[in-house]
Amino acid sequence: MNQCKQCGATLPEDSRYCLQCGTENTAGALQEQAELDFLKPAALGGLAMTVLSLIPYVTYGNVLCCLWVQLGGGLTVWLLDRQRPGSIKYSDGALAGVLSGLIGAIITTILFIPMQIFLMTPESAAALKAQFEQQQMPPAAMDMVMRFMAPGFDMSRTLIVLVLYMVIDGLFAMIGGILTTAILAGRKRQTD
Amino acid sequence: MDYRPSHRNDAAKVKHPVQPALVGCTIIWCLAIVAVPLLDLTPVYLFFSTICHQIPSRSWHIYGEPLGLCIRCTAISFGFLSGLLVLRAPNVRWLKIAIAITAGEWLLSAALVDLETLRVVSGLLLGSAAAPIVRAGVGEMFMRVRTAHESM
Repeated sequence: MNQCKQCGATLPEDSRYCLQCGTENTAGALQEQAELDFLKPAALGGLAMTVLSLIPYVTYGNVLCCLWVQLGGGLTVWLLDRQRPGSIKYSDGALAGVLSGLIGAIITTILFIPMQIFLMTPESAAALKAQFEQQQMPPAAMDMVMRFMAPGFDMSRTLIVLVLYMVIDGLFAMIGGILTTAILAGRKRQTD
Repeated sequence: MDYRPSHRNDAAKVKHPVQPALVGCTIIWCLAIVAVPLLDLTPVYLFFSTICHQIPSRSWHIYGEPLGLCIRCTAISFGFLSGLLVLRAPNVRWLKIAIAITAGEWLLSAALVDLETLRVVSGLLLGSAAAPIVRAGVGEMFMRVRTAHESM
């Protein structure tokens, strides 16, 4: 652990700035290294979280604090980490996570369009309602969901899905990315 | 990318807003969990349904209505808040232990015994262990974006 020379706060070893006062942490600053390619890892992470979130039954993993979304962010960071011999920074992990979450949200929304047209039928709505009744969902919430899941394509609904998933996937993929960065950094220090 | 501050001497004068912002957002999140049954906030309940199963039998209740998140997710959220308020330095070893305990508790509940207390304890540990690490990541990302913006 390093200490901030300005305010004395304890800092993570790889932290570039003091999180209390903002002073640059020169002891922990990494040497300037080659630029990281964020896009490919983020696209793969975003795709992975979308696929896992759409597979029947497997999708229930997301009920544990968006597990697949966090793992998508983690996968992105793992791929990013392989581009450098040294550890990547927390901010790299956070940005990579956010980017993968946004890409995941866009892929989900694109896939949601044909799903609305072909899969959201009166029969599927009835089956969904029966499932909610079995789960004892509050009536007001169930009514709102059933209105939202009405059959056919709806542009406003598609935009709501996009914004909602950008917020949720962006947030949880960022958390997954940061936590994976911390775990990978510790592992690399052990092997060095 | 070089994201060093363009005015290094000024960096120490700038107070870091990440900690209060994160604490504020987490307090709003935790209040929203409790407010769902109290204020009958159906849209918030549905928002939380994207991240939690919300099974009533696995949730705490207020006035007969379930909270916005299940017991485990509620414990993680409040653990995260307490970790932000109490813990200063990130500790990856504690995070690994907390993940192992949560995974072990989940397997135990699926195979042998499902105890509410264990869910609460493992959730609180996981949330509090993750909080300082997430703060470090968000803080660095904030500094990086700000310095990049300043250098433009």
